[in-house]
Amino acid sequence: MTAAKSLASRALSWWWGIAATLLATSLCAVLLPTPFMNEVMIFAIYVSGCNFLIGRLGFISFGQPAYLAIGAYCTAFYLFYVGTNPLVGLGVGVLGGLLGAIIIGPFFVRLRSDYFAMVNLALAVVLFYVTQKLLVSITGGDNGLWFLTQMQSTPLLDLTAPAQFLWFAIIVATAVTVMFKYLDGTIFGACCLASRLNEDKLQFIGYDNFKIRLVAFIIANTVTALAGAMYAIYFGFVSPEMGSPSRAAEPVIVTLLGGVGTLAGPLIGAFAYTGMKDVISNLIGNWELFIGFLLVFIMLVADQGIWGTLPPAARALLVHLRRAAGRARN
Amino acid sequence: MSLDPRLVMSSVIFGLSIGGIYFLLAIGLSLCFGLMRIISLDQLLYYSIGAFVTYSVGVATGQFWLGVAAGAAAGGLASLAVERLIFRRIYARDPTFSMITSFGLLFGGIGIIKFVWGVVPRPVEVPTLAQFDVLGTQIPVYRLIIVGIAVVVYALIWAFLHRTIVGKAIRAAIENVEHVEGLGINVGRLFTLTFVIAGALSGLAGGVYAPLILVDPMMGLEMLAFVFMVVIIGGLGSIKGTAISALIIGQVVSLGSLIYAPAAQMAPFVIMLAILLIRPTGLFGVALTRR
Amino acid sequence: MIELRQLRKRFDHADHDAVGPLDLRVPPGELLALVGTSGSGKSTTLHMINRLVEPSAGSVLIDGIDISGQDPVALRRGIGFVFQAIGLFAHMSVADNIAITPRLLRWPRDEVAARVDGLLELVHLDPAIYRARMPHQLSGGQRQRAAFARALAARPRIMLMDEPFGALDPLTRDELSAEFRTIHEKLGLTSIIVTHDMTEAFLLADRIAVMRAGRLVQIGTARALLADPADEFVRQMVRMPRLRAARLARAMGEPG
Ligand SMILES: Nc1ncnc2c1ncn2[C@@H]1O[C@H](COP(=O)(O)OP(=O)(O)OP(=O)(O)O)[C@@H](O)[C@H]1O
Ligand SMILES: [Mg+2]
Repeated sequence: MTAAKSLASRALSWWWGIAATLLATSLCAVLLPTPFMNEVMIFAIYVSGCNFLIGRLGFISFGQPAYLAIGAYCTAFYLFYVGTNPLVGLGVGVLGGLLGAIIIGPFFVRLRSDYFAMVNLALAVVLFYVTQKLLVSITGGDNGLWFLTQMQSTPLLDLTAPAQFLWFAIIVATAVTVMFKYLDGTIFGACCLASRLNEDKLQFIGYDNFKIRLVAFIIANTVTALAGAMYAIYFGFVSPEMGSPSRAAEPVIVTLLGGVGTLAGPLIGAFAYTGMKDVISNLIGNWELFIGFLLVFIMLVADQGIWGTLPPAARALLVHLRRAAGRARN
Repeated sequence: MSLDPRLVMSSVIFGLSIGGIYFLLAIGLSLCFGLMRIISLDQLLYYSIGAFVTYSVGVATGQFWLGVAAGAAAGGLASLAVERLIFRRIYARDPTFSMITSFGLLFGGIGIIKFVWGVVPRPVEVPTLAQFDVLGTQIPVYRLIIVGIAVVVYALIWAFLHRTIVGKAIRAAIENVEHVEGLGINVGRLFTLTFVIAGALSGLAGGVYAPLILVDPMMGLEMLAFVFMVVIIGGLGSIKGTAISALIIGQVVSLGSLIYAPAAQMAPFVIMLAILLIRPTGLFGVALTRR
Repeated sequence: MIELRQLRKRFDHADHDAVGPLDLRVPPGELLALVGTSGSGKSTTLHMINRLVEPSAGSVLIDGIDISGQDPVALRRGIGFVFQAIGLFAHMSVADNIAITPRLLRWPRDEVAARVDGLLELVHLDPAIYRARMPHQLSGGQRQRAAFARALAARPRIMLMDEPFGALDPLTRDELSAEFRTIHEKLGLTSIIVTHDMTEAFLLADRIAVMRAGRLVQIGTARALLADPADEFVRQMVRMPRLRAARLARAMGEPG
């Protein structure tokens, strides 16, 4: 019993967890269709930004498409108008996201969490209109920007080839996960959690809430922009649809699905969500119905998400089976 | 730039009517927040339901106003069910929690609407095509009717909250729910009542707005951001603030599109951001006690 | 009768119990004073008695019946509650404040009006003058009287009062507490009153319960507490009035 427990806890200890996840992901990458896996990996990166905001800061943002769009469009602008190297494009996208977060952050992180959620959605709508209507001459409006054929292949991993892009995405996703894991162990991570749980006390100890929130906000949304840049490179195309506010709930839903604040949550959530979307859309064709009530269900019953709900359930089942086995032996 | 005064006139009326719709929708959200501390995005679902029921009843009976009444009733009923089955269980939790849940409801509800009515947009006939001459400008009477309905609703809500004992109790509970509870008043019932009023008003908004748009399942999502802005600018929990900000946003949207159409959709956001910078709780936001 | 059995409360995220385990019996007709330092869990205890706070463990019995199975709304109607921060509703007149529960219960209008006037007289506020006043037009003491009247409106048999005289001058305080004692006896209430003022507790209450860090340290009559304090903490508490009287005498005796 105790041996099994310590083994389980060691398997769950994070470095092992990351290695195991990496292995499982690689296996999936070989076995499952590449386009599906590509979407899952980028989506997981996208969600991990949101997961950090919710899980470590207690801030829910319905405006993640905005930051995604910033990254995607910065990359697209570079690849469409300036250069041909997708890696440089990626860098431009991340830089754009960083700058955007630095500019927007100070205004937003002062707000109470409910206003924060709404204002972010508003930002997403603004950016949607900007890309769709206001800057048509630069963004191409609804037609978007195509640059798939303009990208030059890169050495080592050719980002213009989907199969190789997948490995790149897996590496980036792992790096992002390791970074968040690292942050959790630092003073900063502890402060984030403390600011989530008890604002007043933190101020009392002498840490500045505003700064902590701002830094966390910048980190989270730079990661989101990174995901946007990766989408842009993977599709070789951006359009306003990518930042559409009607998809504003997706990262939040997936964060909840995977389990708020867990490291593996985004990946598991992205996997489950993308998979379900494919299956359900084919099966009943009414995606909203399903995802909407799934969300309500999660909130009412299983608000620990898949990652938070399954292991305890599995553990309970294991104990149960063991007892049954013991009884059978006697 | 010189603007045709007749265009300005009709644009102002247009702004008033759309502001009226914003108000009908936002008032429910605002009251629900003030009293129950929930962010009820599902109001946008009752709005869509109201519009679809208005359409269906209108087609079946040929009676537009009967349809609107049925739409408001359907909004109220749907919200009653949702309050009883779902919101009851989450009042005690953080507002953002209710926001996610209600987003799920909105989405799932859109799925149901698609299931029942399909995805094809439905036109609803304007009940009166009469025009009205103001300083040489032809103003559709129906737009004025919408404005009238919004004004009447404002007056009724005001009277309800200030003149009846139940309304007073609701205001008292907005002030301090624990003190009201401590007196042995059933605040659960006040919550239900408020939520149903909100739902019915959203249904009403959908019904009266239906003739001016195409009724389609996504209409709630399209409205969402604007209603948000109205509520945020006005301040969550304030009726007067909601009315004023609905008025402002209505005018900004309509006059803005007269000046430069693409910017009109964005201007409200800019205003909202500016107001939040100066006053993080909106124009008339209530000082909130932590619960 | 109010009975607390092994009552405990731990708030979310807290690392120790705010209250308990607490055992306490208040027989019918008694006026019990609950004293203790700030943060010792007095308010939390009162809130658990009318279920504004749900206990983490243990039970509360009223007239022998466990309240956890009762409808909280009905329960609260039988209990008058005066909050630590008075809590008159600012946008309602005094009459509305008092009448809110009866009116929501749909008592006949004239009966409500008569009840309001009766209660205002009981707490020595002239109905003709004060009925229509708004809370901000009252003095602190008058507000407190109105809050009493409101707590009594639904004819409760139990009164819970959380530091009702906290913010009043000593004279008004004395006067009001004496009046409350009269009302308590006249209506045959069972009452718990939280106070910081030991003198007040001595003068007003039948028995005194001393709390510290969520637990009951000692309970007894003023005489018993003075004669045989359970520990140093209680000794300090009960000696307070005398120490102060002595200090006062000294200050008087040695002017300048
Ligand atoms: N809602 C709450 N959530 C968390 N902790 C609480 C809550 N209410 C009270 N507490 C804590 O419980 C403890 C007891 O509080 P309580 O209000 O009962 O004290 P009290 O004896 O009434 O103090 P005072 O004389 O200052 O009114 C305190 O440590 C307080 O911080
Ligand atoms: Mg207290």
